[in-house]
Amino acid sequence: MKARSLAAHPTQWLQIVATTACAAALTVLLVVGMQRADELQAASVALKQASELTEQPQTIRTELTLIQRELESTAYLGDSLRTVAALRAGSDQSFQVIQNSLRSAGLGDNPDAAAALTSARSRWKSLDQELRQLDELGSNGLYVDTPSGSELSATGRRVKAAVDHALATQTRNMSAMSQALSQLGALVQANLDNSGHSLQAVLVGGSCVAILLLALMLYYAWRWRLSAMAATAAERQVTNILATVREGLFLVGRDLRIGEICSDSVRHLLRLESPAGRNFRDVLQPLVDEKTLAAAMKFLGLLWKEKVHEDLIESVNPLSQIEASFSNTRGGTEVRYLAFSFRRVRAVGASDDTVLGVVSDITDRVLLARELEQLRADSGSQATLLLQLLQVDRDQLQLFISSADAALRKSNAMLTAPGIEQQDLKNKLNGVFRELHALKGEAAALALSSLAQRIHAIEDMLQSLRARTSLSGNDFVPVVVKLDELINHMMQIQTLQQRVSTVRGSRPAPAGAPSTEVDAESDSHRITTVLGSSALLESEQEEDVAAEPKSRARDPLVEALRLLSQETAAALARVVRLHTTGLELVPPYYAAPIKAVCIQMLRNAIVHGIEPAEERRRLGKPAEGTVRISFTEDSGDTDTYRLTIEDDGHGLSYEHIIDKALRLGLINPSQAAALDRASAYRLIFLPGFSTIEEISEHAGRGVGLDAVSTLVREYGGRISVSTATGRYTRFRISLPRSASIAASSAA
Amino acid sequence: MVRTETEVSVFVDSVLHYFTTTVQQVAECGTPYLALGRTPEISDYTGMIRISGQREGVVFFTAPKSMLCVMLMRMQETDMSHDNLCDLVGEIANTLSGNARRDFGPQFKISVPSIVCGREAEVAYPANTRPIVIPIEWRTYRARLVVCLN
Repeated sequence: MKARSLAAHPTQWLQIVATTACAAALTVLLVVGMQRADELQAASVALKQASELTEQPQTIRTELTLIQRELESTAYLGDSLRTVAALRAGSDQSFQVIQNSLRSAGLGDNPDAAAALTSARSRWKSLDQELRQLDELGSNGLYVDTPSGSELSATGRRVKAAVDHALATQTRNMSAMSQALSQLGALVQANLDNSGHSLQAVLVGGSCVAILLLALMLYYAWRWRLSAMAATAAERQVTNILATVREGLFLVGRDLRIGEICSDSVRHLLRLESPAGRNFRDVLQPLVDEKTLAAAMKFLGLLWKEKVHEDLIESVNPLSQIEASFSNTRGGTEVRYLAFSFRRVRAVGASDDTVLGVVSDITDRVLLARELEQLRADSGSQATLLLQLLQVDRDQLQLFISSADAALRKSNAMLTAPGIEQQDLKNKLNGVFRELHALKGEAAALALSSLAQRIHAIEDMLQSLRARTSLSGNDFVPVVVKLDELINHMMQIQTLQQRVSTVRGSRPAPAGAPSTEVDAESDSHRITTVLGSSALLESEQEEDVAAEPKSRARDPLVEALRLLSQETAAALARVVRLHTTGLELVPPYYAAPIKAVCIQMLRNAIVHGIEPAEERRRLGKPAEGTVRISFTEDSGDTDTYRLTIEDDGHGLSYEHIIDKALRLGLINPSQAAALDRASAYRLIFLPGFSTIEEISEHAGRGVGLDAVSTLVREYGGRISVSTATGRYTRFRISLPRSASIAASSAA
Repeated sequence: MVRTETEVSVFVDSVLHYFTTTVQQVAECGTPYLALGRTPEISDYTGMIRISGQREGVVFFTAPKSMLCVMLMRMQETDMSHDNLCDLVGEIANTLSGNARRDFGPQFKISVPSIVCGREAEVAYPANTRPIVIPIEWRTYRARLVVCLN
């Protein structure tokens, strides 16, 4: 990996080598130049000293001549002698300097220079010896006074002789000394010239290398500037892309930290002020449930594994579509659908690897897909609906449409009523729930499954609202929208019903229509269903059917109950026999509530009461369960009607009811311990109470008995329940016979 | 129709937010209902926007004069004139318009807010629709937000 990175930048290495070579060459040239300069300086010093020394003998001669004249005129010699002594000392020092300088100038080993210096020094030594004697004699006692004047003393005469001797020595040697020094000077001058040329060459070479280095520097600076401009342009482009792209782009490291650079959309899509540096898990936590969060973390962990194929695991990405709720600036909640996708970014070093996350808002796409699905379902369901309507009795359908209209109006009226306290909202919710549940029962009784399914979907919504601890009016917006859709669907049914009526009006009723299958004598019907196979309707006394008047045989309520028991039994794989008695005697003002109650209680009996055929056989019961519905005048009270619904199923379970009530929080353990059986059975009428664990289209929401109880109360009636475990459950409903009482109660 | 739910919620949130921020007192939303068989009741002052394009319809906020006067008082206004009351419902309609523009994008063409005075005023609703009425409860007063989109 490292070798690849080195090979990836050969020009960079060339630049480094060239720069280093130039710098090294320049350094060497500088060192050589400095050396040459030192030699030059030393040679200059030697030349200067040699030149001065060349003048020295003449100066000494002048001084000696002066001393000679002073002796002749018996003058004071002190100053001249000190001058001579100083010249001696200067000359010695000069010879030493010349010797050192010659060594520094590289002429230390030059034999000609050494010979010239030795020659000059030996000549000087001989003169210097003479001068030292003169210096030793000093300047005192040179004269003696005589009558004829001052005369030289013995010391004076010795001084005079020394001076004369020195002058002779000077005359003898100084020419040779001057010649030797001149020769030395010429050698030094030659060396000086050489050093000068050498230094010049070094300077030229150094200048060239410096120029080359400067050129390299300028080239690199130009290249750097180009790179910097390219980098700036690239950075600007990246910034523009990140600011413009609708998707949220971000990088996630192994520690789940979000990288510093991410697109602006991330802030908007995830509603984050500064996503950089945040832990992705923390960002995700408020958006998804715990299960999805754990799955997402596991999925991200998979991306880091070397052997995992990213394309293959993309299909298990738990964040491919999530529903996220955000608080909006208006204080409400906004639901958006987001899609996350991830791709590993493989950097040069494995430790630098990151995961590129892309988040996009797919709300429009999801909603559009749903609408398309709804449209498709609607167009499909319209054909299904038409088929369903063709099988429903016209009068029953007309009654149902009126009943549905009333139920929907009543639901809407409940919502229209003022009141926004929690209890008001709960009452409205339960009221709408009851109305729609009863309507669903009626739709199911007419086998209008598409309508029943729609209402079931609304019930799902109401169920989730019921589970909330706190409600607001805003929570009812989706309910109202669904109610509006339901009204539209009912209008569609009405339109289709009118068309069906037109068709039916021109044709006789088809042979074998459901109405002919009813045994009116006994008002009993046998519905046999085996493991969900299609139900068969068998008339127990087929020979009596033809003898019965059509009007009775086509009693809409009996027919509706027959259909309902048939559908419900088929859906739940039960075998059920339905007996009805006296329903044709129901007075008109009780037709609607009795119908609603019968439908609900019949469904309850089949769902909650009748056991599956296998279980019944095991318990020693007939495989076929029986539900009896009878409507009579109360034998003891002539002002009361009695409606009885009884099944021979497993009866109510006291323990089961108590257990469920405790789990739903309807009672606490101490209340449960004190609850007798009669009181426990009253719990089944509470809103939301159901002993079924799973909600189905037929039961499980805990609305049915609440609706029945409310309806009976509205009409001033009473309801009682009796049961025997394993044998039966019987509901007795008493209703006032007087129409005026019933009407006023219902109003 | 998830879209309709979202749209209605956006308008409801807008009005409630207006009360919270501008009037500086929280209003509550009553249970919404459908205006079945009759048109929604119009109050003294009504601020209205019309929507066309992808969806067609009308959205308006209608409130009694007494309520609007108290709202103005809460907003430190002393001028309770007819014009000022009109301005207030116009401002609420403008808020509805602004939020709809922001949240629904260019598919929604939203008209300039208009103001209707008087309870006898008639509002034209799109055909084959049922207006959704959302009561807005504030102090002891009740205004209505009506959303009618086809």
